[in-house]
Parts: sequence; C-alpha cells; structure tokens
Amino acid sequence: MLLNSLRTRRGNFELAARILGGGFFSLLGLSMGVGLGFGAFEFASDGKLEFLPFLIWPVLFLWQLAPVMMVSFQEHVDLSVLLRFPVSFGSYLLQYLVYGLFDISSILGGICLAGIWTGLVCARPHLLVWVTLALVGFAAFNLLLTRMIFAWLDRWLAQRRTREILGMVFLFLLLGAQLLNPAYYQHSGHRSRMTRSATLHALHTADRVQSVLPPGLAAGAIHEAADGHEIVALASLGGLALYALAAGSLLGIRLGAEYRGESLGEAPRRVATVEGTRGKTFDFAGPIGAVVEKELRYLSRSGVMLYSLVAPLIMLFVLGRNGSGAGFAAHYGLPLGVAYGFLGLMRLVYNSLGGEGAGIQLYFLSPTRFQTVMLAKNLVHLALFSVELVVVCSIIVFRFGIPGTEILAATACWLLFALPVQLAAGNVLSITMAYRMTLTRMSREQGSAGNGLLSLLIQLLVFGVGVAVYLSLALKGHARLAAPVFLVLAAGGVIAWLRVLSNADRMAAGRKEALIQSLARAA
Amino acid sequence: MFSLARFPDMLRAMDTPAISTRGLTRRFGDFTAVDDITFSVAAGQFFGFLGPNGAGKSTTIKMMTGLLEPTSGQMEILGQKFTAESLELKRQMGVVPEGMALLGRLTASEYLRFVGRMYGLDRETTNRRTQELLDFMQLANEPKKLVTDFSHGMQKKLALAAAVIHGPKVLFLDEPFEGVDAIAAGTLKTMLQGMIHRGATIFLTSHVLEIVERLCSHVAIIHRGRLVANGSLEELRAGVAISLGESSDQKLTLEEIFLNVVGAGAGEPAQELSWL
Repeated sequence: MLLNSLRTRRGNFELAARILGGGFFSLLGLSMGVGLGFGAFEFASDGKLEFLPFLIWPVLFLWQLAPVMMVSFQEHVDLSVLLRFPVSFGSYLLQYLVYGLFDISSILGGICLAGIWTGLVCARPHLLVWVTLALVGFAAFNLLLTRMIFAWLDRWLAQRRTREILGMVFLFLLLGAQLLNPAYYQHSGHRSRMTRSATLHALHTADRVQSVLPPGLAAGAIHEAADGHEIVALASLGGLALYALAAGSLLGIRLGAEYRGESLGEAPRRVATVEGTRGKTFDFAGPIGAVVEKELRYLSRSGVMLYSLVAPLIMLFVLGRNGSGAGFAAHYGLPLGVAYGFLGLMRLVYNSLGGEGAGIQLYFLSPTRFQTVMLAKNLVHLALFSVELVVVCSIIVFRFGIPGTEILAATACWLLFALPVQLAAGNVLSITMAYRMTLTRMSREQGSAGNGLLSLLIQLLVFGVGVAVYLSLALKGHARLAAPVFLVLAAGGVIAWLRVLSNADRMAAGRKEALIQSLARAA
Repeated sequence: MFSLARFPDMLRAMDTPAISTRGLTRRFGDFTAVDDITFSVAAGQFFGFLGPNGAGKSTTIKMMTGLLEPTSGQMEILGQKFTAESLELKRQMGVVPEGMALLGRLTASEYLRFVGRMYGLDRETTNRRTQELLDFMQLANEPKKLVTDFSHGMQKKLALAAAVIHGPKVLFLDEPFEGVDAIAAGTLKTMLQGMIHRGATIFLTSHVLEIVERLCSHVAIIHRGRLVANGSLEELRAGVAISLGESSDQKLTLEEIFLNVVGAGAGEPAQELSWL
C-alpha cells in the first residue's frame, strides 16, 4: 500500500508531510517530556512531591484535547469493518485500544509521562515500583477515557435527535462559559480586597477536589509512597484503577452495542405526510442558492464541523486573559483573536469538497460550472466567518474594551487581504488535495497530513505578513500607514481569488479522476 | 407551425444518432480498459451495453458522460461533439453513474431539489417534480430519513429520480437495477419505457440479461475493452445462430448470445474446487 501510494506526486507529498508532521510532533513531545522530566526531578529532589499534580494535570488535558485539535494530521482506521469477520469481542476491544496507542495524543501523553517517570526515578530510585504503577495506571486511564469519549461522541453524532441534543448542550456550555467569565472579571476590581484566608480556602477546596480525581490520585500515590504511607498509596492506586475501570466499562458498553450489530443510522419512522415545499431556507434560485443551502444543511448536520467552528472561539475565550499582559492583550487582542478565529474555518475552507462523498460526481455531470460551486461555497465561508468575527469582536471588546483606532483600521484592512487569500488558497487545496471527511464521526476522520500542513503554513504566512507589515511600520512610528498597505495587499488578494475562481473549472477538470477516486470511494 | 422549409433539417435530425463514439480509447498506464470503440445509438432507442465484469462498460459510460477523459477518440451526443465542458449538452443528459452521485447527508427531497436547481430548473418546477418523483418511486414515506441511511435499492431509485428530474433527452444508466427488488425494478422499467415512448434515448449497462432482453431493442457487447458485437437483438440472434450452424429461426436468448459472443466456457477449463 505504501509503495502504491508513492506512485503519485500527491502520495510523495503526503509522505513528506507525514514525516515533517511526525518530526514536529516528536520534537514537541520530546521537549514537553524533557521539561516535565526536569520539573519532576526538581520536585522529587527538593522533597516537594505535593506539587506533582501541576505536572500530571497538563498531561491529562493534552491527552484528551489533542485528538480534536490534531484531527487533520492523523488518519483513523474504522475498526468496525472488522465486525464482518468472526472476531471475538475481546480481540475487537483490544484492537480498538491498541489502535488508540498510535494516536498522536497517546504518543505525546506517553512521552510526557515517560519524562515524568524518568525525572522521579532518577531523583528517588527507591520509588521505581510506585512511580511505574501510578503512571502506567494513569496512562491506561487516559487511553480508556479518550477512546470512550470518542466512541460515545460517535454514537451521539450518528443520529439526528442525539446530535441536536448534543449541539444544544454544547451551545449552552459555550454561552455559560461566556457569561461566567465576564461575571468573574467584573469583580476583578474587588479581588484585591479578597482576604488571603479566603484565597487559601479556595485553593484548599480545589486541592481536595483534584486529589480524588485521576491526576490527583496518581500524584497522591507517588507522594504518599514517598512519605512511607504505603496503605494510602495503595488506596490512591485503587481509586485510579476504579476510574480506569469505569472508563473501560463505558467503552465496553459502547463497543458491545457496536459488536452486536447496532445500526447507527437514523431510526426509520413512517410519516403519512410528505415534506413538500415547506422549510424553504433561502429564496434565491439557481445553482448558487442550491449549493449554499446544501452547505448549510450539511454543516447543521455535522457535529464535527460545528465543533471545529466553535472550538477556537472557546479557546480564545478561555486563553484570552492568560499569558499576556493586559496592555499587550488590549492592544493586540483584536488582530490575534481574528487570526485565531480563522482556525475554526480552516478545514471547511481548505477541504471544502471533503464532505461531498460520491456526490462530487454530480458537479461534473451537471451543467453547472465548478467555479459556481466554489463561489457558492466561498459565500458560505464568508457568512460563517462574519459570524465568527462578530463573536470574536464581542469577546475582545467585552474583555479588553474597544481597541485603538490604528489597530482597528489595520486589522480591518488586513482582514480584507487575509480573507480573499485564504479563500483562494482554500479553493486550490480543496481541488488539488481534497480528502474524504466523515462528517459525523470524530474518531474516524481520514485526514490528509499534506493538506493540514499546507493550510497551517498558509495561515501562518498570512498572519506573518500582517505582523511584519504592522510591526515594521509601527517601529518607525508610521503605524497609521499599515491600513493603506494592507488595502494594496487586499487588492492583490482579491485578484488572486478571482483568478483562482476563474480557473476552478480547469483545475477541477485536471484533477477530476483523482477527486472522484478520493472522495467517492466507499467509506 | 409546420413549414416545408424546415423539412430537410427535420430529416437530418431524424438521421442524427443520439449517441455516437469514434475510436474511443482509454488507457490506465499500460492497461487498455477501452480499446478503439466505435458505435452509434439512434434517437429514441433503448440501447443495452453488456459485458463481463471488468470488460470496460463503466469506463465507457464514464467517458461518455464526462466523468473520465478518453485517451483518444471522439463522442457526439445529439449530433454535437461532447467534451466535459459541454454544459448545454449536459443539460440534455441524465446520468446514473456507477457510484450514484448521491449526497448522503441530505434527505431524498432535499437531494432532488438540489439536483433540479443544479440543472437550472426553477424552484416551482423543481418542487413539483420532486414531489411527483418521490411519490412515483415510493420514497415519499421517509421524508426525514437521510440518503446515507437508505437501503441500496432506495438509493438506486433516488439516483434514477435525480437523473430524470430535468427531463433529459439522453439517459445513461450504469447498472440501475443492481440491488433493486422485483417491485421496484418493475416501477423503474415502467418509467424507462415511458421515456422511450416520449422519444428519449436510453443507454443502459446491466448484468441482468433478462431485463436487457425485455427492454432493449439494440445491444452492444464489450469484452476485454473491445466491442465484439453490436446490433439489434434479431441481428445478433441471426449472427450467433449462423456461427453455431443452427437455424436462424431458433430463438436464442440474450444469455446464450452473450455467452457465445464473449466465449465463456470455451478454451479455459473450469478449475474444480475439490475442497468445497
């Protein structure tokens, strides 16, 4: 299969992108592992093992969040195809877990835990057995948890009713987070008046809560063993095992249903009345309206795509306050937020044909030009980005106040440059490097490392141009000139976009067979 | 109004084949899937295109509908040269391709409305025809079911509905009866025969020889990429009867003609599977 894939230029590029991506993630994992290892070594040497949770909690977040953030860079195998063969449930479950070991998140998490293990064992060799037991148990829990979450998400996303409920829960969570955080920061002025004892009380409560959760239990087992409290350490390990067992049981229930031949299709329901002309979403006729309407229907039925859209907004909201000084954030919050907001649209824009499946053939059979299809898709992208922009701006203004005129104008003009460039590049990659997307399954996405890597590089390039232009002018005291410069660049961007659109038919015709082969193949 | 001045044009139009190919060839590397195929289908004809698995049927139909570029050769549809860019010709063509070209995350009515608008129908006509087609194909009982959750037979019916929603003059069908039950197959046959009566031309590939025999007036057989037989059923029967040394009065079935033409059973002894 490998040799076969190398027969095409795209296959070679894909391999190169995988090697590059693999190298990057290995480097990332190694640096995190080394950092955590040194931290663990310091804590263990200084007898400060009570701080161990500060190292283990980040590993949990990394392990559970990375699969969603890196979905474009990894390919998942749909193991349910094995159910056609006489495999036992045990071996099916085992294979499901073994494949999970090769996820990027598992590899990164494993490297981080290996780093912590090395640091602790180097500092306290006599704790070897306890550290090994605690960290292996924690790794097993993480693996079971992440596989369990994705298995259940797939189940809920597979049916319309559960998908809608999940969507609503997600929306309420988002809104809740948005209301909670400003409410907290509204009182930030009073924080100085907060007594030290109240802060300590809050920290103690947080510590008590985390100590009974898996990362706290893993850290607690090592800490207690180091203090000579073997019984308590054993109890902590037992608690960790119970969590792993619970995650494993929930995973077993889900896979068991799949193993018994459960169909995740929509439950057939016979309804006497027929959907006629009701439910008109748009009233503009013709192919453009048809594609726009179809795109919005697809989007509303894809939890994965909706999640991709809102995830950067959540991250922006959560991380907005951290890491940077208030002055920096207030000044550069808007451009950073807007650039970050682009991430939500990345997969939609850069693989806009990925969800078509066998339907891609219709675009070649019908008397509609490919450029019309791409234009309609771009209109949807623009509409979605406008909504994202409004949310991003609201968050930024709510958190940091209205930005200065210079940065506001520069950001607006940079957007006029960035949007057409992203759409142009997105159209090119969508046609030349399309990959099939399974719109309702998170854990079974077939990503394209090449597409993912290139789209990320283009995002960085567009952002880099903005930063370079603005900073170089600002350093010379001419920040006001940034907006006109961006407007000139925007004209180039629009020309590039129009050129790509006008060439869309030619590009699609050249890639027709590859497009049909990669998108219309059986899922 | 009838005008004598238009008479020559009308005669020419009647003579012009609905579909014709000349030297159509497609190679995949060293492998020649379709080798120098030349044939024509008269307007209003129900034409069956047969061949064993891997003979090149689907490749031919893909080239004729613009899904695949031919390595060499030419095609004409309704008397005009056809290429993938022939948008006006595509408006006159309906296709059920091998992969059915369905959009899985739409309902049947959403999909038909989408296709109708992609073919340039106005919204009112699209909605009316969608409703009529859903009723005719007995797909109207599942208004909220997504296409991806349809059975294979239902998907075939939907694909056929989508291929005819714009009232094409030429219809290309790649295995339309595959996986379709007897009741649905009857419905489809009725519809296709109705189209022929109204002057449409249908180009059909199928493995179900009984259906082809019942529906098609003309048949071509492709084997290993080359056209090995082409003509009306009577012509093929007569040709095969002569080659077998039998009386041409004897009514050979299409299956017998097919097996004779592609040479099945001759030369290559069937391997015995003693372990079965």
